[in-house]
Amino acid sequence: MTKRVLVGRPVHSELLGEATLPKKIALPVFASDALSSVAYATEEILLVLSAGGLALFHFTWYVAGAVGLLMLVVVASYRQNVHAYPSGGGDYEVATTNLGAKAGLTVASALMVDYTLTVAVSVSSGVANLASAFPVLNAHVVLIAVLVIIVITMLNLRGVRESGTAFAVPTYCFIGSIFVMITWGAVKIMSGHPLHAESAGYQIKSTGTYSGLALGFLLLRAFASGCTALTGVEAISNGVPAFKPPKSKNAATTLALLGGIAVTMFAGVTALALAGHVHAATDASDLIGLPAGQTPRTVIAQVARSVFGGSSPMFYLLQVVTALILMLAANTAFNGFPVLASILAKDGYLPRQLRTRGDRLAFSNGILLLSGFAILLVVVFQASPTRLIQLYIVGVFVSFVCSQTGMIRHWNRLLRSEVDQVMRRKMMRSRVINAIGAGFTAVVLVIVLATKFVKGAWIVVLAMPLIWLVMRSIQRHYAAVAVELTPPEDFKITNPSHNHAIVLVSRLHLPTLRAIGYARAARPSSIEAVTVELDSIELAALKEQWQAHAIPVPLTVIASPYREITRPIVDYVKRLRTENPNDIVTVYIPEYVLGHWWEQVLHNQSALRLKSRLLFQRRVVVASVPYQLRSAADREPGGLPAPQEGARKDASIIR
Amino acid sequence: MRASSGNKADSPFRRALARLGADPGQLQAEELQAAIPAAGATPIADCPDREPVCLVGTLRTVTFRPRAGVPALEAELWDGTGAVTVVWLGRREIPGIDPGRKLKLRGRITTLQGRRAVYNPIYELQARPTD
Repeated sequence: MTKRVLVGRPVHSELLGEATLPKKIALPVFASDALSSVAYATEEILLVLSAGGLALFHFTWYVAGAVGLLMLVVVASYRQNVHAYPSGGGDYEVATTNLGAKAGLTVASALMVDYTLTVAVSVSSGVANLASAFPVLNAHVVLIAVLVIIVITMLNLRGVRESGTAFAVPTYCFIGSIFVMITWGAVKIMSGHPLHAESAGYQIKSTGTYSGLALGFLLLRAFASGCTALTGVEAISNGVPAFKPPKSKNAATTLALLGGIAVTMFAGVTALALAGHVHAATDASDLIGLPAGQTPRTVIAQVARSVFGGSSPMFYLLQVVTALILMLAANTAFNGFPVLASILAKDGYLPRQLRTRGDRLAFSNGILLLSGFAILLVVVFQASPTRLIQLYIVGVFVSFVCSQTGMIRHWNRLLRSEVDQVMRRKMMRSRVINAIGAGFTAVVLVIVLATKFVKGAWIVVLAMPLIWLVMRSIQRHYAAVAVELTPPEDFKITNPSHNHAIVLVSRLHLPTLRAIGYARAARPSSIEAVTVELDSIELAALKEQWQAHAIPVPLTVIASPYREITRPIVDYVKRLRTENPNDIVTVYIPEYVLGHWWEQVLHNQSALRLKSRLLFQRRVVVASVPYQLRSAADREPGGLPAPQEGARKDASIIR
Repeated sequence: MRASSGNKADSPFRRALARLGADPGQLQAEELQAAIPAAGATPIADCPDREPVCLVGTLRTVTFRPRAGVPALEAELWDGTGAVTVVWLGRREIPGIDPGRKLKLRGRITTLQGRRAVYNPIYELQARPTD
């Protein structure tokens, strides 16, 4: 009932069909993740550089330039992927087909880690931006972030399929307002009104002077942090089937558009931040001049305030839209992760439950798994985007490198059999692009690992192989079970030759009588009722009732010198089994069914224990014969009438 | 079962350890086996077919036949080495023939459908510690 209210009514499988999206809708649907990183990429570069004090801020240009260049390279490489693998399997498929299952699994574990981080980073950053507009929220960022994740989870459980307009409006608003801001800022500067960010007057306590190698390392770290701008580029390559035909071509165009927009926005925001002398520091106490106890605004908020003014509606609009697009970015992970998990579950790397769609056609279990881990991350890292970003993008780059390497192999393989000169030249060009992509991303991966390892990336470096190993052992287990369960070619069903039935009796009441009747109806080769002697007076009463009701089944009483129930029965069943492998023993256990779990606790406890013990005995079948009590019958209004109890007339005499 | 309990536990320490690890059924089996020579009986496992024998043990189960049908009382006597089905024809119930009861009986032992059985034996109920 609670589930109905929160999640909604189940949806018929027929409604699953894929809706195809035109480019103008597909761009916001798939690009929100990649575009949203504009909101924090610049800030992360500045934060890292702040370690060396204000003196290093002029390096921001080079770092941002490198990030922009890398972005273009990656986009170009992924355009090749989109053409070669239009099925939507993404990096996992590319790596699996070209580099083998192990590489595919590596990509999968990397992506799973990164999807989780996408949610954590995007939501944390979104909340930080909201708090920049409404500083009262600063005290409750963790709570708000957790609530936001819960809301996104609920929406996804309800099954917001990538409904175009819901995505298009905030995304286009975001793109629009950023471009308005860049233009407005540029106009202001040209017309002789220099920008002045609120933090421009703050000094930064530098944690040391950097020169030579140390400076290089710091710049590389800034670059690694800036590379967060690249996340989400792979989303389009996973979503090719959702495009309107010609799918590959449209996807590639959208990818190019995405690259262009993202790089322009990133460059614009960085330029404005530099022009307005935005100063940021990892630790707010390093900012000299910041009023004590105040949390500095996000860089994008400071830029917006310097361009539009502190209380202008445009500033608030931009902050809200930024927060929205960051939440949408979190939502793309909610689309990607469950699909990946279901593909992995289909291949046997994850538990089967992750494969199935829930009531609303969404992969419910995958969604819940993702949301659980994301909430954990947000709570542990106090919803701090800066700290979370240290773990981020290792996974993305692992999957970039694997898929680009896979693409080189892909072209090599195709080139081996291709004779058409025009096609060959095209493939060679693609191979060169992918090779450049692989080289660049590999170098960046090394940089990211080297610069972020101590800062927190070690968690990811530890988590990925762990996930890898777990998935592999799950797959081994499933494979071993499948081998054991597969019938041999010449297998024929053989019926058991003898079926010895046992009905467990504690007292002679309606459930027992029903179980006896049911056991007799199954026509076993032999049948007996079995009880354990615990109390001689009770046993005498039982024998008397047995006679009085003329039960047509022999009653065997098992001695229990140590007042046990389970063991004597299990031993007895074991002794009943004969040497003939075609004989079976069926144990019928009468069970009461009650309406509420707290009533259930009071009953059936020994029956449950017995059942679990008997399941391990070979050639023994346990049959539960349910007896629905009145409280359980209420749970099924309008159900079938209860079976007629032949002994009901006499049963009223008993007890 | 008898061989394992007779030969293995030679040192007292080992025996104590074995007793700790053994389940109640195992311990009861050992007690019952120990009582066989004292009563001048034969272990069930050593009984030859179609010979008159004297057995001593405990009734592991007692089966009461339904009212309709041939009256007979069936019980399973266990002496720690093996079990034998004891059948009293023409009786539905015999006072004292209850599950858990210790019994000494004389009769001719046979094998019926792979199970050892004794029909209409002469029996002596053994006293319980509380009697």
